[in-house]
Amino acid sequence: MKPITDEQLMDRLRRGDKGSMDELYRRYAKKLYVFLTSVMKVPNPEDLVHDIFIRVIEKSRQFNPKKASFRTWLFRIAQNQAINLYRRQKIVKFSSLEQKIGQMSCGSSLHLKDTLEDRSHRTDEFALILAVRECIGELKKEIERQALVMYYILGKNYKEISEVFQKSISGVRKHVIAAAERVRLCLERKGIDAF
Amino acid sequence: MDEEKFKQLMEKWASHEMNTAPEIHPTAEVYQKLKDREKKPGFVLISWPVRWAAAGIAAAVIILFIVLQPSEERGPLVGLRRGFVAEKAEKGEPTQGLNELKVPREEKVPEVAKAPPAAAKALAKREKKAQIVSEQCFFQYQHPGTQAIEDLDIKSPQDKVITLSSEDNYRLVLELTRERYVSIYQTGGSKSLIRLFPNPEYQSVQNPLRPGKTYIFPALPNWFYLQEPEGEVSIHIITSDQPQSELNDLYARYQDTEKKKEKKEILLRFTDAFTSIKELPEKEARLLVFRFQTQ
Repeated sequence: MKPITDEQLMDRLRRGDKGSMDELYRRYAKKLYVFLTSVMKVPNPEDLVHDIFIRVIEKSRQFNPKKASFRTWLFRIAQNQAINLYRRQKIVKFSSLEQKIGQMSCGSSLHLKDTLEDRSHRTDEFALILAVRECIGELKKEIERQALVMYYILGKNYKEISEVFQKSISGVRKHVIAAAERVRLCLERKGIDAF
Repeated sequence: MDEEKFKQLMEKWASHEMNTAPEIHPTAEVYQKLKDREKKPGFVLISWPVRWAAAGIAAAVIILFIVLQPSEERGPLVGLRRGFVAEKAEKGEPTQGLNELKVPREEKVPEVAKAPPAAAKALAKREKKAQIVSEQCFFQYQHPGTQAIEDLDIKSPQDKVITLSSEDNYRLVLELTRERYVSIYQTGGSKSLIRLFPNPEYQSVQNPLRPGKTYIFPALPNWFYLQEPEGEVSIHIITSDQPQSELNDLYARYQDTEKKKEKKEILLRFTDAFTSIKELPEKEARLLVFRFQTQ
């Protein structure tokens, strides 16, 4: 049996189907959460994810699958929400290292095996992940940061990102490459030579 | 750090972020929104004041569009109003001696009045048939002050060009010697075009027109008047044995298009068509043109 597509779910959502909303949350809530927390400092990222889905409900009649896929449309809404928040906050700061560490200490890391060896390995891995987060956060250009994060969240699909940004594919590729280069240099400055 | 290692690190980061992100489920607020949305169709979400404001703006835009658009794109420049005699009668003013139906031919049969009624009718018919040996076509007009109806024979060469204003009324009178298809077009100085006949707004009769009958355009008691001056106005009367399908098609296209350029092209084609009608033998088709100035 073919899995139900996002567009079919949207069609059902328009008719008020709760199940479709649950499924769309399951598919995209995490992705949106990562996107939002990676590109900006958000006090309550979950709330922002809910806000995005409320916008999806409000704008559901405007969604035209012939013009864009649901993913593209959803991330365009997310991007607009991020811009609106940016304008409200005036200054955008990426999540601080301390905040992330705080989140991680009470988050999924607790579920990992807790042998000494594992703990040492885990610490190394955390250090790398945190360094990457920090370097992404240090990117000065908002569009570069968003493009790079989206590139890795949306499965390295330049075309899709270009549709979200409503820019050319080559332009988006340029932003992603520039951002990646800056992050790589940042990691090297931090003395990280992966693995 | 080489590129490959960097890419692996980034993928690790993305996968870690996805794995550590909390599970998020729709809240009651989200479900409520979905429920509300289901009840309300899109337009209901817009409040009444906004809807009224939008309607007002739309109406203003339409009015501005009508007022500001160039004259050749506006509707017909010919208006229709009741004759001065009819207006006088409506106001209860004396109309003795004034005749709304002043057709030149009718005045040339005084014998009819003296004969007994039945015989008079037959005589009038015979007289009329006898007199219509060729097509008759008159341009009639009246000034508001005088109420008198002036006749101009369109077939005769015009000695002088008359000038009419929007205050004046005008109409056309046509009599045929045999069954003919007729169309009447009015063109204005600002490249406007209006078909006066066939046009159900002005006259309900339909082609072909019968011989021995007096046709007045527009139908009594109405008269045409110009809604605004257009420089020189020409009236083209075409009579033919066959339906004028080419002109009808052109006119339909002229009415359908909104493009200025296309309208101009169609007008040029009309001019060509009129020229070709002139070259046809009179038995097949005939074109009469009457011109007057407007101020």
